[in-house]
Formats: sequence, structure tokens, C-alpha cells
Amino acid sequence: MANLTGLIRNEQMKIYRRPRTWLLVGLLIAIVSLLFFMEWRDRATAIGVSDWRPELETHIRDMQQMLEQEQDGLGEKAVRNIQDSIRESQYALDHNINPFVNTMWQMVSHSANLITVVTLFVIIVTGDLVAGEFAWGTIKLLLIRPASRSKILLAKYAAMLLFALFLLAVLFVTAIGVNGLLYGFGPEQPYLAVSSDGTVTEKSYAALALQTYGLNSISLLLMATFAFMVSTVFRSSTMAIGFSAGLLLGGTMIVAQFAKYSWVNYLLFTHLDLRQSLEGRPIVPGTTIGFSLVVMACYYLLFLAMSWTVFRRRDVAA
Amino acid sequence: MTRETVVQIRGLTKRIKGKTIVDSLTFDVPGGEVFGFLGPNGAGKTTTIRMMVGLMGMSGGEVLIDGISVKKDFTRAISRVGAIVENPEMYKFLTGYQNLIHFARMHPGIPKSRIDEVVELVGLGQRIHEKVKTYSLGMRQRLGVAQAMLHKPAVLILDEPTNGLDPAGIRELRDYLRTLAAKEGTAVIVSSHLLSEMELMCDRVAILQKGKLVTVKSLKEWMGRDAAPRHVFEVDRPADAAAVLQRTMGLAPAAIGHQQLEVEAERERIPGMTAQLIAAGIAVFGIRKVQSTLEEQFLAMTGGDQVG
Repeated sequence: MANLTGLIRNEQMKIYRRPRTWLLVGLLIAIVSLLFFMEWRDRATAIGVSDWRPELETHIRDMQQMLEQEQDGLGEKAVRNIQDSIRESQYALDHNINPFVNTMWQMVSHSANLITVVTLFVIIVTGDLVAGEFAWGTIKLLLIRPASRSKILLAKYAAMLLFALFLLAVLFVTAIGVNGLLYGFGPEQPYLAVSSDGTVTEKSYAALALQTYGLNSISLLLMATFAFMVSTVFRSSTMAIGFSAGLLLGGTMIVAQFAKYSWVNYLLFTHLDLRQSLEGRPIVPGTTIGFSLVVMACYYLLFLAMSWTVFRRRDVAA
Repeated sequence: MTRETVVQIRGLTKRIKGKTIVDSLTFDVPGGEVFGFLGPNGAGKTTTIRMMVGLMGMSGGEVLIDGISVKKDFTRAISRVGAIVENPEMYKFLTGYQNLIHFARMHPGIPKSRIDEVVELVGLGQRIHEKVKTYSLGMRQRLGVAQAMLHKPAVLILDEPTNGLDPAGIRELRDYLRTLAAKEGTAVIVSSHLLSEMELMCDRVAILQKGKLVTVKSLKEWMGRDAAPRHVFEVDRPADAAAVLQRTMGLAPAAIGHQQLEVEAERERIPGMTAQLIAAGIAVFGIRKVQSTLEEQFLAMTGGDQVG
């Protein structure tokens, strides 16, 4: 009967024909530009480019001193961080890489942290996807068509994913544009990664940027799906936006608060930041990437199952 | 009415938390007929309509559209239905035209020309390209009819379509629905709690009360009965008076009340009837004609407990 492409185009139309959506896009561009501009201004005054070698040597000496003097007072984690920092700086000196130079791609890789803002905006739009139809009363005209409810919900979910991709692209392109203008679109500088066994390797910032975008997008996907579920189950966009945004901003705090209990390991927020497990420093010690992925997959399937079950069965009254 | 049956409702029932909202409704609506669904607020009209279009599940019974079950083969059955359930709520941030495109995409094979056709049909003209939030209620109602007609449905269901319309708007809608039924052979089902509107719009009316079907009547039949006027005789012994009239003039009593006898009879027969009563020794205090309108009959039938 009604084809899925048509349904998705409908949902897209309902997202992009609303002025609010473009307000969010504009806001995202403004936030990204402003943050990177301010960072650029701060860094420009910090360290000159010519005297980076003595600067780095001092840094290494300071770090070594700190290790010797306060060995007992520092925790295991802090000691490792300091050791990593020393190895990284030494590598930079040996290979004549100026770590104080900022390049466009380095900044673009930082922009992955702003995916939190993208997540927040996707949540705002998602909150209305199903709840909005109920609030506007249009659900009554939407569901009396030769398209099954599952298919209609699928179209909405697909439109949500496409919107998330669109905002990610806006973030990425804005980051490239703004930082390209600020630092030049010139040659790339390698990024020094210290692995858990202490070896330093050169990696590309562009690759790092893509990797971080990918990892952070998993958290985006889960939070957006959560908002989608609340919007569908409770038919309230306020609840969908409120709950999801609250958990997005406060989730890690909750985990930190209860970190000593074993059940924390089964909470979604313990696992959302995959970079921690990847770099060998998870919030809860001993968490492996595989376990994190399994927990996330379970939550993801649960959110989807809840949305579809409720939406298919519900009586649309009043 | 020799047309084919489009809508068949069989023992349709809705129970919510042990309470029966709609109680085994059964009726048919043929193509080309405007069928009224009448009852006080809370009688179960909207619930029935919501079950017919699949917005609510059925607790029992069945709804068939062109012989296809709404419950078992929803998408095929619903593709023959056009409906406005309660107010015609549209996407206010879209234009009327974009709204129509939206709904047209949900039905297979609706060409652009059909959208222009329905716009023409409901007479929205150039304003179709303005945002719906600028529309008056009457214009939204027309847009509602337009979206319901896009796919040339076999049955058009309108829930309280005259709500909030001014008299001119009501007349326009009425003419439009009558034309549609006559020309296209569409079955039209209209619900309302106001009989006065239904009188002029419908061929047949079903009266619903407390979830039950009280009666289904053709309006012609109803009006026809109205042609034989009723008279009330105020007498001291109404039961005896009824027996006298039955015996002497072959008139069955229409109703017997307290010191009242209601008889259906032509004006010319009144003197004869009076003479018979007096001859039988019954005291006659007065005779008057009953101004029986449909509204009164409707109220009498539904027990007069109209909620709103």
C-alpha cells in the first residue's frame, strides 16, 4: 500500500517546514563558531610558536619532579596520566613535532565533543515526532490511511535518524569552515596517541575526528531513541525532551554517585562514553568494550520494542 | 435505494474497563445514501466512528467496508474510507496544499491533478497556498473534506461536521454532501447531536442512546407519519374513551396518558369522534392538535435526557 519513501518524505516535510528546526540549525552553527573563535583567541595569546622546545623541556622536568616528590600522594590513575604526558612530550621533542601548533583538523576532532549539543537538538525535534501528532490532533488523520501503524512509526524513526545525520554534517562542516578560516586549511600535524602499554604512535587528526564522531554518535543514537520512546509512550513532548535532556546532562553524575554498587554496570550511562573503555579508562574499572556494546544493544532494543508495542496497540481517544 | 451496501456493521461493541460504551450495533449503509448518526453527547457516536476507522480497537463485532473487514484487513478496508474525526485538525505550519500532498502520499496512485481537482471541488482557490494557521474554521472544514475525498472513497465519514460552522457553512456542506452522494454514489455517514441539522441532510437516521441503537428510520417514513396529525383528547376516563373509538370508528389509540388520549386522525373526523365519546358518557374537556416535530419524537425516543 502506501510506500515507505513517501511516508519518510512526509515526516521530513513536517520537520523541515517548521521554522523551529531552522532556528536550531542556526543556533548550532552559532554555538560552534563562537566556541571555536573564543578558543582561538585564548590560544593565540598563550604560547609563542618559536620557543616551543624549551617550553616542552620545562614541562617534562616539572612532571618528573612531581612524580619523584609526591609519588605516595598521587593516585594510580594520576601517575599514569603524568607518565603518558612525559612520553608524549619526549616523542614530540625527538621527532621535532611542535605540539603547541593548532591545526584545523585538530580542532575538528575537538568538535566531536559538541555532539552533546547535536544530541540535545535532536532530542528537541524527536520529542514532537509522535507526541506532536497527538497534541495537534493530526494523529486521527494520520492513522486512517492505508499504511500500517508500524510503517508510520518506522517512517518517523527514519526521519529522526536522517535529521541526526543532517545536524552531524552541519556540525562537521561548520567546524571545518570556522577552523579552516582561523588556523588555515594548511598541512596536517600528526596526533600523538599513548597506548596503555606506554608506546607513542603518530596518528592523523582527521582519522581521530572521524573516529570520535563515530563513537559519540552511538550515544546520540541511544539518547535520541530514548526520546523517541518517551514521545511515543507518554504522548508528551515536554516529558520526552525533559527526561532525555535531564539524563543526557545528569546521567554521568548519577553513575559517578553510585559507582561503588555493582548494578551500576547495567545502567546505560556507564557505557555511553565508549572512548573511556577504548582508552582503557572506563568509569567502572574492568568494563570492556564488548560488554558496553552488549548493554547498549539491550537498551536500544528495549526502547524500540516499547515504542512499537505501545504505538501499534493504543486506542486513539479524545 | 437499490444500490449496493458499502458499510456493514455487525454486532459492533466497545467495552472500556468493564463499561459498555457501544453495545452490539448492527446496521447497513448503501452507496448513494446520506446516513445520519444521531444521539445525545456521550451516546457512543464518536467511539463507533473511531472503531469504524481503526483508531480504536473493537471489543466485539465487525465492520465491513465493501465486504472487507476493518479488523482483519485494515489497510485494504481503510483505503476505501475518507473521514474527518471530530474537528478537521491539520498541520498548521504547512499550507493547505502541503497538507493535501502529505495525505495524498499516504494513498497509492493519487496524481497531482487529483489534488487540484479536490481543491476546486471545495472551493478553496488560491488560499490553498497559505498556511493553515491563517484559515477560518469554515476553511479548515473544507480542507478537511478535501483530504477525505482525495482518494475517491466509497464511504465518507464525518463526525460532527457542523460543529462550529455558521448557518451558511452548514448549508453549503449539506448541499455538497447531497451532491456527492447523488452523483458519485458515495455512502456518507454523518454524526450529530442536533436533529434539526440531520433532518435536512440525511436520507436515513440511526438513533443511538447509551451505546445502543434505538431505531433506524428513513426520514421520508418519519415525515410521512407526520402527515397524519395527532390530536389529544382531554377526557375523564382515557382507557374507556380509547375502547369506544376503537369500537365505533376503528381508530387505534396512539398514546394514553393521565386524563389524556392521543389519536392519529384527520381533522375531518374530529366532530364524529367527539360525538361518539359524548354518546358513551365520557366527559370531554378539550381537544387540541399536537405539533409533532422530529425533534420532539427524537427527545421522546431518547427519553429526553440530552446531556449537552
